[in-house]
Amino acid sequence: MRKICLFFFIIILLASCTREELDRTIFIPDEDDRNLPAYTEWGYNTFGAEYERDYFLASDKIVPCKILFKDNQLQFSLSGTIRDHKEMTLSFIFSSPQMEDFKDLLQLHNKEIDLTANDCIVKILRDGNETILHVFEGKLHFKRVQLLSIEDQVNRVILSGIFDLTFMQNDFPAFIYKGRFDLGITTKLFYVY
Amino acid sequence: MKKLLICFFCVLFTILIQAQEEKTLTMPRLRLGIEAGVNSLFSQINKPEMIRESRYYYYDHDYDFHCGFVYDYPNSAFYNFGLKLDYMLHKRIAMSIGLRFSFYKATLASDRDYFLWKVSETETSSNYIKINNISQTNYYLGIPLETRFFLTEKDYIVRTYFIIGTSFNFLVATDNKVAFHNPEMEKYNSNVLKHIGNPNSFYCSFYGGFGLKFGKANYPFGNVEFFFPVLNFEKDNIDAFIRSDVLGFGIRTTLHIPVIRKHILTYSVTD
Repeated sequence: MRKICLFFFIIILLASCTREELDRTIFIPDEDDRNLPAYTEWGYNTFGAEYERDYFLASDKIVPCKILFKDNQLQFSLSGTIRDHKEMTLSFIFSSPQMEDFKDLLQLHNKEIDLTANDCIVKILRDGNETILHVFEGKLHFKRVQLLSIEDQVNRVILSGIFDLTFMQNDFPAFIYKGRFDLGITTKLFYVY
Repeated sequence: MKKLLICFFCVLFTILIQAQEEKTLTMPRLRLGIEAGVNSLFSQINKPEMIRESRYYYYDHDYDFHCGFVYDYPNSAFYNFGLKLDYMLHKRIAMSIGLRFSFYKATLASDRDYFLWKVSETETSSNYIKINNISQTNYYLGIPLETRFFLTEKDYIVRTYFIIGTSFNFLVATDNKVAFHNPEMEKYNSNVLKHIGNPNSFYCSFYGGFGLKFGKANYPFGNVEFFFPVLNFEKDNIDAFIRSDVLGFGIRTTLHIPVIRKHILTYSVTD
């Protein structure tokens, strides 16, 4: 039995090693709150936020971000885990200029999205149930968007930023705050409909 | 029975009388020493900020899956060899002075083939290159001063002694090298090297230990010396590529060849 466990451990270990380095989630703890990732701009494929008294965090097992452009709207989705490693996806949908490939994400550089605006939707997908949030305070700020090249070849776009929102949940106010993300977006994570 | 006991004590007394006979020893005072050794000091590499982290930390636990972690604890062996003149001041005390060449090499490498280095950036762009390793080798020329204190007066074939010493070491050369994953990226060599800190130009070490001399002092002989502690002192240069701890240990072997045989140390020992 021990040998079988060891075999599976080695398989998992090898599987984690074969993933391209830039696709891995690197968690550098925040000095103020070591449960959250530090705000970085290296494309560490991570994000984190406090969700009430819990933490919503990127996981190395889940693709942390996918972006969908459809009908002049951009859907920016963060997928990770919350209490007891349950999966959760937080999506921000907002109007955006035309985008054709991932490099067009550079238009988001230093852009602040007001999450209370009429053309903005915030959704949570949890346990298979999708909930549209009634946000009464919040913002999503793409502090830095950069085109990352590896040895002079364009490889991906790095989105780094912060978010905070307060919303109504079951007729009670709830909040997600201290949100930060540092994500590498390649062709396979950017979809145009 | 009484006679037998008296006889036994007479023989014993005779042996003791004979054992306390004084013998005169002579040996050349001056010897040339050819030495080689290694000191090990715990040290750390100043990991430049341009390196993209690869380690995966979570909740204070370190899930390091050996997927590109860049080690900053190098093998920090100071190899040294040199020439020295050893002078017998006294039947138990010898002093030496010489020239010692030492060097150490530290390598920054990933546990995979390469690590990523941010070679340039603007507000909306960054360029990483793949680097196999970065190494720095520092060469020092030192002047050692040592004193040995022999535990026995008699020149046994194996003779034990304590040693204390100091050496003043001056940087004579430093060599930084970058091994690129893709040879075409060598155009960024100077860009990478400008982030590698220079070593200290001087360090001083104090050390103590014990040694074993193998052979007679009238002939060429060898010795092995073990040092603990080895204390290194240098200006704390926070930008230096390699930062060493103060404390270490070492081992050294020397071949001693008697020179100027006319200059003799003569002394008596009770055999």
